[in-house]
Amino acid sequence: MINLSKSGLAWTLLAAQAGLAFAAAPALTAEGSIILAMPAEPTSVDACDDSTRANARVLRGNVVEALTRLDPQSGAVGPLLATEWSSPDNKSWLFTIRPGVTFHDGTPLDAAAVAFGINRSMNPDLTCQTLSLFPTKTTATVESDMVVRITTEEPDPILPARIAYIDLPSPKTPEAAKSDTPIGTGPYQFAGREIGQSITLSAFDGYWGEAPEIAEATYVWRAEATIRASMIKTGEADIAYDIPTHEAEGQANAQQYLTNGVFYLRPMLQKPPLDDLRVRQAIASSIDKATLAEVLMDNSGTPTGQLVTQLINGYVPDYTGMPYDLEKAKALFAEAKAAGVAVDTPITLVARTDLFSGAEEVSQAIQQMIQQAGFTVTLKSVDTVGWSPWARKPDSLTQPVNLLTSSHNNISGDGSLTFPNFLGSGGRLSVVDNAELDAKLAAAATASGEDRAAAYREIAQYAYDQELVIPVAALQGLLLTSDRIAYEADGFTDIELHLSDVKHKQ
Amino acid sequence: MLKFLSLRLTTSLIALAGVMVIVFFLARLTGSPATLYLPADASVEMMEAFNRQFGYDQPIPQQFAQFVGNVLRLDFGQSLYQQRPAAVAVLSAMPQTILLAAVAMALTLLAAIPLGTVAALHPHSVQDRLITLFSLLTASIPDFWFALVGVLVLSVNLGLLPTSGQASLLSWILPVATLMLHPVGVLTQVVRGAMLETLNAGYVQNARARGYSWKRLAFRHALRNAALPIITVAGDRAGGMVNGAVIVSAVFAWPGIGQVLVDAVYNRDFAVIQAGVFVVGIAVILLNFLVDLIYAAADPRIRIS
Repeated sequence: MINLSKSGLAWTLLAAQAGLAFAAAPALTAEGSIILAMPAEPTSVDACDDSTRANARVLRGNVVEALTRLDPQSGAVGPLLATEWSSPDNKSWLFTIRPGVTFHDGTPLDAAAVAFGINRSMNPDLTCQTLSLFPTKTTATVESDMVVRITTEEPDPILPARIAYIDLPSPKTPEAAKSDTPIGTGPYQFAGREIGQSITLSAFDGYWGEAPEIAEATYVWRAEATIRASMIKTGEADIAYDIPTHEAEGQANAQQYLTNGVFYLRPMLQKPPLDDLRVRQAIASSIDKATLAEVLMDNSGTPTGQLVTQLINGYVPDYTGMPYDLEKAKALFAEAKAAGVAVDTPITLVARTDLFSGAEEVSQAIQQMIQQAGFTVTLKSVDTVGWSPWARKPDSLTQPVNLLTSSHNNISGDGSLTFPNFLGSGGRLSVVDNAELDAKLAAAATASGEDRAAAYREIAQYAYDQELVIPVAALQGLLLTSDRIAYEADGFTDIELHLSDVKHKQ
Repeated sequence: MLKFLSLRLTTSLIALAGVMVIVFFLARLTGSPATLYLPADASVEMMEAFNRQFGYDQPIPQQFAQFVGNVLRLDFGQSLYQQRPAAVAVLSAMPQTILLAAVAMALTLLAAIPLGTVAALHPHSVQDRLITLFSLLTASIPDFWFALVGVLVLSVNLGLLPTSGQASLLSWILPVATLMLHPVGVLTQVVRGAMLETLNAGYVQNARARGYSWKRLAFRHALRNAALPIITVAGDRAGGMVNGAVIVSAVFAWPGIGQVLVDAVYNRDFAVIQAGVFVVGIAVILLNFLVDLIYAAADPRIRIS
């Protein structure tokens, strides 16, 4: 039996009362609203289309969530709507669903809802943008109430990372048609949209995780960077994306972040003179990446020799690519010419103008730089649609000899979303046809852990040594925030801005 | 007059039909939207499924036949980008465009007519030179530059106006000023030229000799006779305001038809391009009708002819 003195009893009662009061207190409620000035409106608000920047920035992690989430700093896979997962064999995975989660429409999250969402995204007739992230046919079935089985036609050791891109919609979402009112499990629900003007999200009271601080967020579209920056300066907006460096000068709340995007050139390897290694090396040596990044890209990029950033397991530590050396470029040009290579053949520089702000000027400078080495380069400016036949197979294989400007963004942490696409003979964007490289890519795809990382590093190093791709600059983003809020940009900010990470400034 | 208007209507509709046919084929020449709406590494199967879903896998003549059949029912199809009927996407942008254009044109006329008339009444005077300088400046300044500088000075530095959007009546000032910029300069010069010619006519000099005041002569008699070129240029500029207010839309996020059309071209949203061209075409035809009626009201000789 426990004996309590009078004062002890009083303290105990007080403590109990305080404990009850704490337990009965309502959860902290979100308050206040913010405005986000964005450069582009989403092309789709369906959960299965949110792998593109404009769509994901609004939806991912705000309205809709996936089974797993990648760490923005390390790229490691962590739990989200799944609490744990395991692989009973090399072609299937079992994911245990987080209990107590409901969609914004009140539907509980269970294995059936997860299977519906995954299979819907995999439906080829729905043409979901996330579908292309899955190299092998992937299907989901209900294993038990709260366990879903995901089966792949071929082994996919990084499926838990890949599944982080399949955001789950409510099972009441149309199965065979895109939705214009996304319903997910995220901390914010879709409150309204005025097409061409704005999208409003409001905090979801029934969110399973920590309640967000901000009650309402309105995204507005402002194509002009000057206007986006001005909206922060005048207090009309709280967050403004994609701000050029000169617009952020003197702004205390400017934050630069890595986008994980890389601007690169892809030589057309099938035709002379770009089928010759010396010619490709001459081109790589003739490009002054530092000047391009500093002067023409307004410091929105840093020189790089790699197609991926440190976040990806194929990143080669300390490798910076072929240094700028015009004399060496001229010497390689002369050497190739002496060996009978048709170096005088005009090369088309296919300049995609919408890659980043100032892409056209950067392409013009690259044209001049390569010409200084002795080549004849003609510039062809194109938009995304015009760029496609130069970039994608099968049309890309029959184009005149060209250098294609492009950018690549991989935030999955894994090289399988980069190297097979650009270096494999089956890759849609690849012009490489190398059986040895294909075998290495196939081996890397089924490896795991450090073996996988080493395999992708080896592939990457080979590609850089052979100048199969010529990376130019790692792209950086810049955002402005108002004095009212606090937000810290991370490795995913370019593609996802989680509103729950936005706090009121004290 | 009725016969003339019927003829104008017939020829306008034929021209509109021709433009629609040209726009249909030119749009298809720019390539399949699948390359834009699907990721760069999308598979061939995904591309085929996309084209099948939206009918782009059909031969062009078949697509055209279907397009004609649908247009005759005023069905322009579904917007790829906006994911709603193209006609709704376009028509929802028209009221804002027409309202903005009407306000800007009314203010343009209110500014240009007195300025041009005053300049014509005092040719080669200081007033004339100042007004001419003003009109040349406004007609020459790039509207894009004017819009951005307006935002930086009036919104950011002075904090007088909002940068963009439509939150309040103040939001109208910069868009309207930008839209007026070129027309006010051009029209001031047109009014000045037309009034100078009229004021030098024999009947005006005669009236002046009989003691009529310049003010009465200018605004009651000469202006009416100088109206035809002013109406012509104002009608042309009004058409431009209806279909071309792209800068205003882009800088100030004004939800007008100009931006809808430009977005549709960039996004290969064929249905919206076609619906937009149709609706803008109808608007321009109606505007031309209005100009014809104003001509007739201003000059009885036109009604007789």
